[in-house]
Amino acid sequence: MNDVDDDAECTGPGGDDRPGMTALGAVVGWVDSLVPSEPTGDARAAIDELIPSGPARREYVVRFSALIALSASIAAFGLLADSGAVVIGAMLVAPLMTPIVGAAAAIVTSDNRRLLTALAIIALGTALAIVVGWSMSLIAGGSVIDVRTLPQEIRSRTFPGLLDLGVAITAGAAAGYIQPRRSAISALPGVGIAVALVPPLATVGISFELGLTTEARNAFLLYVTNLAAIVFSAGIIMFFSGFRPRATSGSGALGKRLVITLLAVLLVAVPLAQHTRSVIRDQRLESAVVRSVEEWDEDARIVELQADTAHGEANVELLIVSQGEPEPVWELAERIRARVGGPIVLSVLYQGDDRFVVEAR
Amino acid sequence: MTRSIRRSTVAVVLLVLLVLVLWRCTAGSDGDEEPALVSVFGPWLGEEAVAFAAVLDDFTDATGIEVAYVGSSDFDSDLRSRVTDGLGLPDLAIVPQPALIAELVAMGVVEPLADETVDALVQNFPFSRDELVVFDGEAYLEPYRNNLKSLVWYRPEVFAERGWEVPTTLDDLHALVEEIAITDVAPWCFTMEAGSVTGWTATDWVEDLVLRRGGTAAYDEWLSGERPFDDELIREAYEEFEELVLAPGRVAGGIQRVVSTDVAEASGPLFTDPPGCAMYKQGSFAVNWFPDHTEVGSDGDVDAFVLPGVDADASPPLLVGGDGAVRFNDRDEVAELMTFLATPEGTRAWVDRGGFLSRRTTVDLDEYDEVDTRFATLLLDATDVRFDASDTLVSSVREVLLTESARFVAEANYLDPTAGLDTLVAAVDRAREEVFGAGDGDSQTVEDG
Repeated sequence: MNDVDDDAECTGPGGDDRPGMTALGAVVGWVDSLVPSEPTGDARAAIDELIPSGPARREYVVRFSALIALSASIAAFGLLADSGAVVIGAMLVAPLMTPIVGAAAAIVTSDNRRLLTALAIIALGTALAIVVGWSMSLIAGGSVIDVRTLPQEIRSRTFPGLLDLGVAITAGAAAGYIQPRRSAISALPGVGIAVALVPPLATVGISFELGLTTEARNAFLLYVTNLAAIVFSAGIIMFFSGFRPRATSGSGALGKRLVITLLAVLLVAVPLAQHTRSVIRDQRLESAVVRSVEEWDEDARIVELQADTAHGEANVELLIVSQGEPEPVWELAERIRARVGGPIVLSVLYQGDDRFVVEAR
Repeated sequence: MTRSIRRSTVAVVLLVLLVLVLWRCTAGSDGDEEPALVSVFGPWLGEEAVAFAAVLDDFTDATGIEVAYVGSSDFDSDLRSRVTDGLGLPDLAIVPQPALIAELVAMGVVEPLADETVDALVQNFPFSRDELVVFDGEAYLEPYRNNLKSLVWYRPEVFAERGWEVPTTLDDLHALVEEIAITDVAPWCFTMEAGSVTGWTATDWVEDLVLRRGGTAAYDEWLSGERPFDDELIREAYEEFEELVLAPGRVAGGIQRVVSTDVAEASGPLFTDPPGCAMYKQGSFAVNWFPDHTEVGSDGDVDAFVLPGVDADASPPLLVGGDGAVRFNDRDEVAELMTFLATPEGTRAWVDRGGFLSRRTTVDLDEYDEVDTRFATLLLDATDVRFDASDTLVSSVREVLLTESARFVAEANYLDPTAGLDTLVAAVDRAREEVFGAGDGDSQTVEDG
């Protein structure tokens, strides 16, 4: 949230027409004062229709559950079969974007009842997708994959990185932009594909079934991050599109709603910030590794690099090709440790043939 | 374009910029680290490296001197190249091979132990100052850690379930292996991959069998070169090893797994359910390689018995290994660390974690956990103790021995069973003759206490 605060400082007290408001409020006021326009009735309707109310809701929940179960099954099989195409198919079937954009809209319009409904539906979908992933792995997984050589499609979902965060933020913005505009609705499946919500959940289920708790946790982190980033950026875009809290029952109630909205924003921001911190750390580690390898052997080419930090210890796996005999790997480990300033476990597979393991503590 | 659309377009652009700025700010600078005052190089990785790092932390807490440890899977050749290629020596090295220490001392790169380190050794170990002096009237080697090699790990629960009994003689062991081999469980877990020292798990097996079948006198003859590799006893030990462990159906995962799996990962199938193997012969340090939260002990997940001897009544001889420390720098901080490592404080963090044995008389037996107490007692009480033969061979001979033994294992069960063995004994004997010509066959004088 610091970024918003920074913006507030940069722009000065231009919108300070609501005394006692937060910095965020100041920005809101400022934006309001620029162009006081309301979203069209049609845009509001498009958002309101996301999660139906009344008797239609039951039907919606049934349809939602069925689609989640199907989508998670397709995703699980696609992941186990290591087929990117099948996994994309699963993303197109997945209905999770609806309640997520609904939640973003509810936050922006400070509609708590709708927010709770959306969150409940998201929780339902999340649990269901994990259980389905777990069951599919139980039925088919053990016999088709080896725990040590996980399919690439699964592995890539257990190492969330900064790029994933960038995708989630921009895709969330796209969702927030498209959803209220029926003319642009044909672009929405693209958003679903870009952020891929169900495959990480299926990965959580599969990893659990295989007893890989770390992988399961990472995949779940990827999901929560995606979720948080989408809600966050979709909300911002909707806000800029003119969606505001509806002051229907007095200013006191509005204040309370705003507090809840802010809490919801914080709730979303915490996993986002935490994840950002950890990906930044891994990103730093990766660039330290790349630079150290360059210094270590200028002919060396990194074919594969996996780096992550757990319990204050950096784990780096490298596949390197170069010319002739390898340079001493302990030297590389020392260089990396000097850069990252903490213990490192380095495993180098040289020319795809010799394996060296070095630990610098 | 309506204003609302224009505004949200601006917002999208802003958001993208925000992501980019975040990216730039975060992908930048690297951390700087103060250079470590004392650098230590050694063979320990994984759990062993973590345990040793805890010991070094204790040293830093006590003295304020920072220590950086680097462990390498290719420690042996790495240390050699640091000496010969002038790549810069560490301040201190942990060396598991007495022969390598002897070579380094002979090359003149090792600094003698400081007086206070020698004092600390004499106070904490059961030997005198004179027994420490190994070369030119100076002491170079500080014994640090011992390990018991003649151990067979097994799961008491599995043995009880299946009605298997811990064997008391080698013949009993053969019978047990045959009994297990006809079940769905392989008798042994055994693997060999260890970088430049691949093959040591095989030579450990053979050494233990030579020690049992031939006795300590024959073992000493073999070690000193009086008894060649082309000898009935040695040949039979290799053949017995092949029959016991390498024959079809005897080892989990077959020869393919033996050759391709890291030694530290050998015990994996022992812990699966149902188990993939029934027994795993490996030194006391294997506890550092077991899965997390493994309970070791007679009531635990895994326990160990000493590889039995020929006779059930006599206690079997023990094969031991050890890790010693040498220093390449005579700075005070380095001497201080060496002295610390001689004392009980220099072992405590590791003893607490388990998997650490030594002959320090000043470490109370009740400081060890149940299993280590048993091992420490065995080590202190044993009469027939011999050091790992391959670790006392000069490097050129050792290299041939390890390579040939690894090849022997990889080619196990080939049609002509003696061809591989003929090549092996001939190659090692030839390498040994070359060295004896140069007058260096007595490397075990630096044997790690």
